[in-house]
Amino acid sequence: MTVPLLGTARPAGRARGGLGRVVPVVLVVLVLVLLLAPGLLSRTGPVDTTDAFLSPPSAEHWFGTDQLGRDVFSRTVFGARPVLLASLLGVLVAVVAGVALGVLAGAAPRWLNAVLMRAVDVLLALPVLLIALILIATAGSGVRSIVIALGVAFTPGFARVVEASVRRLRTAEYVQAAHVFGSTGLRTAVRHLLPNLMTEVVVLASSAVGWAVLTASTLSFLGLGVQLPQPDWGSDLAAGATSLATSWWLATFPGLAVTITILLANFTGDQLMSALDPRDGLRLRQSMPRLLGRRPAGPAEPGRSTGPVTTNRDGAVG
Amino acid sequence: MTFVLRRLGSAVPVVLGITLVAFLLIHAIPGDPAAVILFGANASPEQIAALRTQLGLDRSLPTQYLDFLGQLLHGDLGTSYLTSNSVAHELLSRAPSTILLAVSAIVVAVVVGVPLGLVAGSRPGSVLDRLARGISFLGVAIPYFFLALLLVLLLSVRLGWLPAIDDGTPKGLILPAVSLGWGYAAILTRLVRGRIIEEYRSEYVRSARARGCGEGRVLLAHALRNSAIPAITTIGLQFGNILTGAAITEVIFGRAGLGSFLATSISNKNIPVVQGAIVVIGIGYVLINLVVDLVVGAVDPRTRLAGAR
Amino acid sequence: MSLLEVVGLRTEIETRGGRVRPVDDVSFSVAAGETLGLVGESGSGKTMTGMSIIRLLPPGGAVVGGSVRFDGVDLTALDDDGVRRLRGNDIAMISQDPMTSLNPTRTIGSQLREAYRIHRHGSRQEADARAVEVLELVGMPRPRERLAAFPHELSGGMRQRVMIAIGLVCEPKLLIADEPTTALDVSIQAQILELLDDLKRRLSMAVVLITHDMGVIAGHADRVAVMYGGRIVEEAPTRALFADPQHRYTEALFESMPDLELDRQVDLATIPGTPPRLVALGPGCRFAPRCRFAQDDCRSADPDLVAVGTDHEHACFHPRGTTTTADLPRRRRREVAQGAGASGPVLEVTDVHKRFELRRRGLLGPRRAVQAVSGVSLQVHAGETLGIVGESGCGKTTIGRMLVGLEQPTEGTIAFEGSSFAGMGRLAFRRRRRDLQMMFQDSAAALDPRMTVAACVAEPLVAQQVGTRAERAAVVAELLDAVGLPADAADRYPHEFSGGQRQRIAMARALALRPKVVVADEPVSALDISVQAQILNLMRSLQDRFGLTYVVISHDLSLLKYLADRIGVMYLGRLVELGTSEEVYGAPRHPYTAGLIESIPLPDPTLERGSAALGGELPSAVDPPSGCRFRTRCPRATALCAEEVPVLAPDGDLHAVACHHPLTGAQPARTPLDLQPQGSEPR
Repeated sequence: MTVPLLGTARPAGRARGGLGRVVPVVLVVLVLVLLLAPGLLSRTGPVDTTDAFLSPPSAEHWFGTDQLGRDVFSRTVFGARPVLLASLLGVLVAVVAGVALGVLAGAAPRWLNAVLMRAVDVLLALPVLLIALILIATAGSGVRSIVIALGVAFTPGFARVVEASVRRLRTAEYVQAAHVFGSTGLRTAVRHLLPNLMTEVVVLASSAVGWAVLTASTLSFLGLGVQLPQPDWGSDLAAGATSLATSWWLATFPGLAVTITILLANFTGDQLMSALDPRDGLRLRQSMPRLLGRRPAGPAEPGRSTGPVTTNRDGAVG
Repeated sequence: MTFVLRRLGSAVPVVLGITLVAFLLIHAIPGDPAAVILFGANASPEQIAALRTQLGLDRSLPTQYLDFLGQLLHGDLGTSYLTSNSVAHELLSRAPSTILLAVSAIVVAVVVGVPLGLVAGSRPGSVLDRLARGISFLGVAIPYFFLALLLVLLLSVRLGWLPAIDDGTPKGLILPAVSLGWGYAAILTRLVRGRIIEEYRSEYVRSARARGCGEGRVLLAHALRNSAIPAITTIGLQFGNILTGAAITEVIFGRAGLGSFLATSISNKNIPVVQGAIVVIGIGYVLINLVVDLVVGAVDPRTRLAGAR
Repeated sequence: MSLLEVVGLRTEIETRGGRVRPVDDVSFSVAAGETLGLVGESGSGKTMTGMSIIRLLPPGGAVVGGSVRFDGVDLTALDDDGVRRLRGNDIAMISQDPMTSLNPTRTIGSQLREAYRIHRHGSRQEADARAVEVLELVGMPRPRERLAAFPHELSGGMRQRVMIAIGLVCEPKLLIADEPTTALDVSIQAQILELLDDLKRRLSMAVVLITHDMGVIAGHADRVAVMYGGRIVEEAPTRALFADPQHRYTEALFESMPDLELDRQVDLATIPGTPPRLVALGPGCRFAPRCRFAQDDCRSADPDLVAVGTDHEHACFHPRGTTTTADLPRRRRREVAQGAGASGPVLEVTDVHKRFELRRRGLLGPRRAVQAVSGVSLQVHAGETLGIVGESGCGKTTIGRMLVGLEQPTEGTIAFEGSSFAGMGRLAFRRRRRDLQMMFQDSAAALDPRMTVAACVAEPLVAQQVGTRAERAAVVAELLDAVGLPADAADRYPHEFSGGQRQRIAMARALALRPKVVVADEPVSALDISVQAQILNLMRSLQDRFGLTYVVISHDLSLLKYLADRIGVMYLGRLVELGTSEEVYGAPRHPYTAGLIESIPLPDPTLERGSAALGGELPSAVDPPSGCRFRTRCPRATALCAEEVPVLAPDGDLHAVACHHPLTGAQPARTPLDLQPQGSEPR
């Protein structure tokens, strides 16, 4: 059953409210400030000590102070940098490597595809954290190790998604049409495959940032990120955890910061999805949990899987 | 039957790959492994050389790998550098508690996530749907170690209902399982909701209604069955992450298990233990997903035809 | 008294684009044992009318007015549970696509039992017994074994039989069949329609047959209601409607059908424009914007139904027969002399095979392959239109793809102007592609959604590095004009256009490189009849203007009869008959062709309809029958047919057939068409 009007009734450019336009700009500015100049937001430095020890949140110290009299607000602001830097760079590494690997595997002959995808399967079989822990064990802790770890851990997910899309797009009729009028393989890839791939990748990447923030703060929670006394959400959260019963603000504010960051990353991902075709958005949303998964699950087209067969007769008759 | 064989066939190279990664780890560590093992013992070069021979490190890489595989086939994961106990024994003695936590978390995820997704998906736009979406949105975002702290603060410290430290009782399992399972519940909610909405648009649901199925029947006998498939696969795919999450949750709640053991092993560069963990977790993951595929094959007969590529 | 009486039914659907009224003041009635045909193009509201009866509307949809009386009960007054108890019990529904209408994860037995157990509360054994009974009723072989089968294990035709069986489980009084055969092959369609007729008689059901296909209506409906823009514009007994259509829309619809056009040299009559979107309609007749007889009164008021004879009603201010003078557009007559063999062959296909490898069954099983094309030889002559017809899986699309070099033959050669593709270097081959272009079936999928129309049309030129930017822009403008699109279309995106317009864009792109040959794969099968005629006329005028050679691939033999000079008939990877379209259609020599022609539902209710001409199902292309591949379904098959592969007899290269026992050709399978609606105006 089709309601033939639903398709055509959709206005070409979705008119979105002012909020939808303002929020991304604010977000980008905030991230840039946190990364480049956190001092703009906080007067006191993250390691400056004051006379107030373990004072609860007040007008003076919005988020309170810790055992050494350091301002928790300042530590929360400055603590964003290692987490954000590690997750953004880590995802960037994964996107570049994953897209390259996925396109290569998607366009490769069968045997090469099999080799590459089995290698991807091996990486997927190892949990993200285990990969990260091992890499840190071999290469030492610190932001650089976390970036590499996130890159390695997320690459197979992107490779999987991109490979599946490339295979799907290669049989898309407009790609076939390009063959018919003699477009070279490279030209078709640049002109048709990549642009149609990129929306998907951008959406996945924005949500992968959420996963990356979670992983990065887990690692620093375990003491494998930035070394104290430098501020970092994860390690500050861990440090505050011991005195949770007496000074709740120590752990709560870094924890909230992580939560809100992931929330915003997911929100951005959702916005990007619905900015695309709604149907496409739904499909992507469902493939999200599989980003870290092994293969795009779900049954292949059942029944006659016997090469090209024409069955269509008058598709959309309401 | 061919489906099972084919799936097994495609798992073999992955398992081999995992063993290869584990094997190569010993050579990825900077410095001589033998020196690392004897670190702190102020070993003489002769002692190191003797250990190299003992470990077989003086032979060619392929030979070493084959030896490694041969040991694995006999269930021998090597010997811990620190305690000189068998790695297999060390891992196995700690694993049940971690696996129990992981499974409990999965139960929480399914029991909370699936019904929430069903309710939300069958009435999109309703108040319940908005509530479910809010919960899942927050659930995905909040890190489980932070959630654990908040729950302890609220339910143990303030209200005193549940123990903050896991004492091995079933009651003590509640907080760790909930904090770990919540995030996955949120994932399942989103997934099931999306699928239900999709299934409701499908032609077969309309035909089911056309033959007189009530809404309850449509949801439970038709839509749920087909939505269960991605939920099952997702749990399988997330299994490794749930397991490592369980290990970390254990540390927070002071539970004995793989978590603290692995953490110390990694920081001590206790290579055989790490190798053993990689092999066990990796193969465990492959096996779980093999089972998942068989379950999905039973639920959805089409996959038996399509199978793994 | 009628079983179903619908009076003034109105349905609305809230969508993001506004409030849609797919059903607007619709009234009709159906008696027990009667079939009412509900016919219309996409968006005419015919499906929504059917769904409104049993309240199965999409989200946001609701019946907002009128009444539906079924068996003395007003359904609009019932609560949801009351309607639910009728569904599948007294009122059954069959929907269009048997592939998606069955739950893929449940056995057909469980889906058959479901309706029985809901409404009859019987035990599982009773339900099973009833399931077997209805499966037998719909002609399913070995019904008891089938209960454990999953939907994907059955063919499309068998699945539709299961759908019908599910509908029959509780012996309904009313069957709503929504495009029950649209997704099926012609020969299977004939079987299913015959089954429906038979069941209707035996169970004395009332049937509402919803379809876009006038041919299906002609053969299987007692009365017809024609819908347009959410309203019934004409209702009459089938014979009366076909003999003497009143509404100008009905008339125009008949005129634009290629089945009915006898003179191949004359263009089809067309209805300009596209069907209306049912949002924010004006006050006038919904057909007025496309009607060549429309006057001022048509634009200011919507006509009501008026009776003109026994049971014949129409809603038109200026019906056919009234002496309204409209400037009848003179239809173009082709002047170019057409005909096969006018000049030498441009494309030569020699003994081409194409196999697609399948996965082995089991780890060590034998290699398996689909024999998509097995030993086809044919020639395409310059300037002609060659039609290739066949049912799904016959290999016609694969042939088309090989002709333009999208697939390479496993064996055999394809040569263009004497030089084979296989021997060509990469560059030469790319250069060669300029001469061979393709039109795809689904224009929405064949145009990159991210490119503007201008970029789409210019893309072949860019890819082949032809011309400067300005020259290319000029070519684009010229081509858009040639395919009848406004110049401002260039800067818009493909999704902003309707299906017919998109097919024009695709055509413009195919012509950008000035090819000699255009391969068109089902160029109009996704379009409504009225739009279809526009595209067919366009294809022919472009052929004359640019001197094109067409290879048209279609499942629709009556379409090719009109469009093609020669027709090749394919069955399961083999070419079984090849001849001029008059010969093939008028005097088929292969039993399969004859059966195919007989299966076509022709829009003529006076024709006597025998039983379905082609029984059985298409055999598997993985393991095709030995000898003649058609022998398993052929009434004339003998032992020889199983042993020896019949070759396509050259026979002076006119009207060749690959059959051991060809029909003589003297007696055509069916009397020549004389289907001009009686009393229609001279054209």
